[in-house]
Amino acid sequence: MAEATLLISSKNYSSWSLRGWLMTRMSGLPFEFVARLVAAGVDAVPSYRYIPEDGRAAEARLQEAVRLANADAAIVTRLVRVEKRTNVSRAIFNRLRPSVSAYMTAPPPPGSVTMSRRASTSTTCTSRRRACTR
Amino acid sequence: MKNNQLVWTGTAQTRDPRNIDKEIKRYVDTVTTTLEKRHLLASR
Repeated sequence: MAEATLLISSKNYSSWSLRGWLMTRMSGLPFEFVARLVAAGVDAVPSYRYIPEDGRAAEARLQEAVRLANADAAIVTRLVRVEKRTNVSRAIFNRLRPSVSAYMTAPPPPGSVTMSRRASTSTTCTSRRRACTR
Repeated sequence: MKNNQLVWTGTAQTRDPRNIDKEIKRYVDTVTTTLEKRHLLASR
């Protein structure tokens, strides 16, 4: 059965309220990145050593951290957007906006409402002082 | 290469991650594998 999609855009109940939850759950990302890079033979350190505070770091703060770490390059991952979608089956739509004839002939078939989340993440690799190539 | 030059960027979309820890591993693996393939990771 075809489904209609409603995009909930309220800051209180959708993406903005999910951002904090997702960011908290994604806090293991730097550790995983460092572990994977070290395994690949790269000297990598997590940013919290130089930027201990939470929240989004300003560009100048990032550059200062890279300088203090004496790093050749920086890998930055940002959570760009989180969407929360409510998928409503056609049967539910019919029930919400019933026509008289539909009610008179037969009850609508059972429908369903399902929720889904979609997160967009961006990662950049920036070179500081020389090429990152081997 | 100039200072602070962007050498690679990528965007990923994740739908309904049931297990965030597994998703993080998968994401990190995808990014690092891509960087390795493009020879953007420097060895020690």
